[in-house]
Amino acid sequence: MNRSSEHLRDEELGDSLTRAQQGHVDHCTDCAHRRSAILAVQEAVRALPRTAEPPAAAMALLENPAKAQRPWSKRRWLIVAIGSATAVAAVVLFVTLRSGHHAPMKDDLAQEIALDHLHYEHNTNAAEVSGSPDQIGDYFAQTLQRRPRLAPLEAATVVGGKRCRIGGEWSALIWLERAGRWLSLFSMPQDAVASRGCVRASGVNVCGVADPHGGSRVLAGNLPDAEMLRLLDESME
Amino acid sequence: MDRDLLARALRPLVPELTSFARWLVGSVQEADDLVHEVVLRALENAETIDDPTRLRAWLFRTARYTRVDIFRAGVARSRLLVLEGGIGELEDAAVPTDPVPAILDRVDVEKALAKLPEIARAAVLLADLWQFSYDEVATILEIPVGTVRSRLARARARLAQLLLTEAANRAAGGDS
Repeated sequence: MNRSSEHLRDEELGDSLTRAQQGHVDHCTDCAHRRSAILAVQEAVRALPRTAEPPAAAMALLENPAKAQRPWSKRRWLIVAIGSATAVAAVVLFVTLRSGHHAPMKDDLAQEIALDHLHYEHNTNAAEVSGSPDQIGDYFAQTLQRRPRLAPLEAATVVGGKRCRIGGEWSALIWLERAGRWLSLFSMPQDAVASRGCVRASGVNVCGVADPHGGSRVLAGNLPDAEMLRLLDESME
Repeated sequence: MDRDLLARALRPLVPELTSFARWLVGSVQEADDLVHEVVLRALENAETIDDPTRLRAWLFRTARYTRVDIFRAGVARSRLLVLEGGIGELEDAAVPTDPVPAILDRVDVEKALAKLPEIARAAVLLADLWQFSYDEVATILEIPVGTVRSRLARARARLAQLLLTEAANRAAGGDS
């Protein structure tokens, strides 16, 4: 059967072409047989069931379309579960890192230092000693039996100092003033600083480093972390 | 289209969609899941469906590609999934001149259909069973109309050959 015959069957030819093609088919036995074969096939396919019993769940959706919602698949639950577990693990890790061995010092120690700083802030009357760094060093050498190193600090003035108990140990507290800001430098005999860094306590920035000459050194005040740590390093040079 | 309006338009179409789904996937359960998914997608996209006259073709087309989405892992065996390939074997299909029996057994027809390449089977079913226009078949199968015509012609010719063979086997007392 040629393409024109297919178009004839599909009723897509114009009137004149239809007449011409029909005329050919009427006198062509093979064509007629082929055509009837195709029609028989189409009829046979058309006789197959067109419909099937629809699923109740789908029909229920159509009964109440406003409430149609996608059921959560097991896979989607699995993705959510894995995502949640990952998020929890990330939070736990973050908290661990923040509060664990990576924190420069224990929270209660930072809190104690911050409160001391706030208590004596701008209170020069509380000073047990004032004068040059050497004079202050001499005072602590006599009273604490150790002499905290206090190198000259850039653009910072030594105001005075006193002894204080921090973490149950007698420490040297030296007050500094830098650009109108009060800083408290604590030289402690114990290894209270686990790692170099800063924490916030009572609104005060508390930064600590291990003192290479022994013990720990902490600076409390309200300067940026980098500047606080730089001052700490300078004070020990 | 409003969801309620769409739901009303969908209801009479779902039995046909279910039949199509059963040709698409291997089991009644999977077909039902597919129909459910297609109905859900239709409702979710109600606002984008604005022409009710195209809804039927939209459903069949969505069923076809949704079936690919859902069962991509190959969990279900499809009778229509792989819509490419195998068509080359119809190149030499010629319409037989021997008369095809007027009354054909449904099982024979289904067996003959099963022997067609999937793209050809889909085209025959969409055009001859569900009476979609060639344009609609082209839309559903995402192939050009010209391709639909050629594949239909070859598929019907092959189907006629297969049915004749089947009838001959039956007459000879054999089975294919």
